[in-house]
Amino acid sequence: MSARKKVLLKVIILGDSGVGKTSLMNQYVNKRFSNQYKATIGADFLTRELVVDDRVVTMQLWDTAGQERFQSLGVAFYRGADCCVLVYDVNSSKSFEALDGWRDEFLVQASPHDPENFPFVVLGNKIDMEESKRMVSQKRAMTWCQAKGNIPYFETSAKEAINVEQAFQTIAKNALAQEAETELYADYPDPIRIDSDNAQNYGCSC
Amino acid sequence: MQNHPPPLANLPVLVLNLSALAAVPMPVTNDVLLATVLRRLEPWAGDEGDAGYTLIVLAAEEDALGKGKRRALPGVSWWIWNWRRIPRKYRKNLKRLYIVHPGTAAKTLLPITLPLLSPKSYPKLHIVPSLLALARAGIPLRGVDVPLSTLTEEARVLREHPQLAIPRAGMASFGLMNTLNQQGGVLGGLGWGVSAISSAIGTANSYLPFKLPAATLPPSPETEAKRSLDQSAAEPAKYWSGDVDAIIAENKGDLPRALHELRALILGMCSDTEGIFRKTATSHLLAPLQGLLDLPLRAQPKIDWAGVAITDPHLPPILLMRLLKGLSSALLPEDLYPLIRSTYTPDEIRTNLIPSLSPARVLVLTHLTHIGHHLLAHEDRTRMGATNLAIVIAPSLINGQDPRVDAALCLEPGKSLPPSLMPPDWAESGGTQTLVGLLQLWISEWPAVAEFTVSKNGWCDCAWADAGGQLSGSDPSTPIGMGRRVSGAKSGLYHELLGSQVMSSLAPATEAEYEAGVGAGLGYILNEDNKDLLG
Repeated sequence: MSARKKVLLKVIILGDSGVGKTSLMNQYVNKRFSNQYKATIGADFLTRELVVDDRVVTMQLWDTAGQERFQSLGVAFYRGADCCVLVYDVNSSKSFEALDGWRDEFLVQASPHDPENFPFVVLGNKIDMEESKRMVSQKRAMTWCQAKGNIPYFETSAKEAINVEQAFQTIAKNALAQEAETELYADYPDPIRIDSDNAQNYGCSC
Repeated sequence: MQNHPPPLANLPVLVLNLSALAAVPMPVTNDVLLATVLRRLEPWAGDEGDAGYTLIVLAAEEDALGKGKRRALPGVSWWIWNWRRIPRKYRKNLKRLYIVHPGTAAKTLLPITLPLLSPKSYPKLHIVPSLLALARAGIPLRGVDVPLSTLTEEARVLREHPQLAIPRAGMASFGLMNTLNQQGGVLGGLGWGVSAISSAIGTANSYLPFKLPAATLPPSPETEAKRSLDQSAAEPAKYWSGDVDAIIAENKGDLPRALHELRALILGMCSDTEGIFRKTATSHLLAPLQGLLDLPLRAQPKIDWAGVAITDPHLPPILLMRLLKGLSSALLPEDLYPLIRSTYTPDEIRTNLIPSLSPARVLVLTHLTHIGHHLLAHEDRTRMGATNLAIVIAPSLINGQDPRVDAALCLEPGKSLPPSLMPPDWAESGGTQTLVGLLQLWISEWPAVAEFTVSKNGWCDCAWADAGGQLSGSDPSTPIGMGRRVSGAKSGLYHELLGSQVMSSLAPATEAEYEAGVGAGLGYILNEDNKDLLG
């Protein structure tokens, strides 16, 4: 039964160079913040076990290099992802404006079954920096998240471990929900969906 | 609206930069300012009956740095109003007036006021939404000082109207290009872009009735592909998407000016920046800068680089990598991968790798690693050591068929990707070196690779070290770059003869400074890059 099956969640972390993807992951998995300044190469992953809704799940966090160049690896990277975490630096509006691109990139490359409802989580990192340096307001970020289908939004600091646990708990939760849905598809590997465009639109489509 | 006639060749082109005028201190009245401008204009305006001149007004006044510190200029309509009081020869001989980045005042008032002033003046006026549109209208920007205010405004316009950034948009008149060229070089030998005139002028045309056309979506990949197919026979639409060997050849075996300028900027003004080469630029100037540098060499303006670096020190390195990444073929071709994987020492770089590359590629790669090497002296502030630099630079230098191979090549030696991402048989297929390892070696051992002497403190002992040290040195308030900027900002008005550019300069701060400034300003510009033209 699927409930007893060991659950592995694949989570992809995306965002511009230097926004703190590796640091967030390290803070969450190793409870450590390193002042070492290190660019990430290609991709790497760390895992952590946690309990979500009384289930023990293993979260596999895929760290990626922020450089555009590696997007060509996207398909291989993103395949089978259960959640995508978009990270930006609240002190750089460019890194925030890049989120659109990263999101589109992910949707194109990973081509999830139901792109409209694929779980994303947005993290505005480096809130420990002084307020005067802040370039992206909470309101602006939340407006964007709302417009993209109510993406959950957290303001974090990998350095001071602010909101990191909470954020990844939500990430795991949403990934698990997605995983359940993926399994649904997996049971019927090649579903014939006659009206695939409208099938998911239960509500009013205004 | 009538069609805009093509630009006139062989007329002096004068540039009036309103932001420089706006920087003139308040005690100088607008009337004095106008008188000064006219006096500067005089040698080129000629007497009645002379050939005439073209005037470009860069109307963007504000930039991020000078906010609030500037005088409020009377607005373009004031200039137009004063047009009537200007001696006849200035008006008569003005053959074209281009206003780039008009403010609201210019947009709404000009089309109404100008016919009232002189019905004959009206066809002379061209309001151009962006600098790139001006360039595509056939005005070579070479020698034109582009101030930060104009770049900032250009960035804003390109953001709102991305179609303006696309070169040769809607070029339906490709055949026209040859016809016009045969008819005696309407553009004074600037073969490029004649076909673009119609499209750019089309843009300007639709701009005249008070607003720009609605922003269109960027072209779909299909139309892009189709366009590139159409253009494949012609020279590339963008300078930096060309072939690196051709680019170096066009520069007579030297690097294009932009690469020298970016080097000076990176080592001189960006070397205190944490995460240089790694972090995303924060300002929006990237798009206009790339657009301007993608113009044909002859048409590229002079950019206020110092202003750019002050606005955003991450931008110059990011721009540099953008340019190199955009080249039509990657700097390190795929057939060299086995060699890269077995190059472990500086000697091997010099004796094996370098001879396998074309001289142009060697030139560019040597330049890049040389910049990296001198940045190492600032590692305590940039936090970018040789490994970090290699990691962020490596992906832009290769573009092989299999992204997994490229990714594996961009690993640190000894590291590996998650198994599903590793290319099959990677370990067996070659040496243990990677491109990152190679670059790290090349950057840190640059003098050994280039057989250059090393200074006492271990860095390459070349002129760059001095310049870099001096520029980023003890007194941050007045680096040389700042001096450049100040003088650049003052050069509000100067002159360029198509074909043989001669410039004089300076919208002066005061009358006295004006007199003193002419010589200095002239000298400065001549030293920069036009001495070859003047002989």
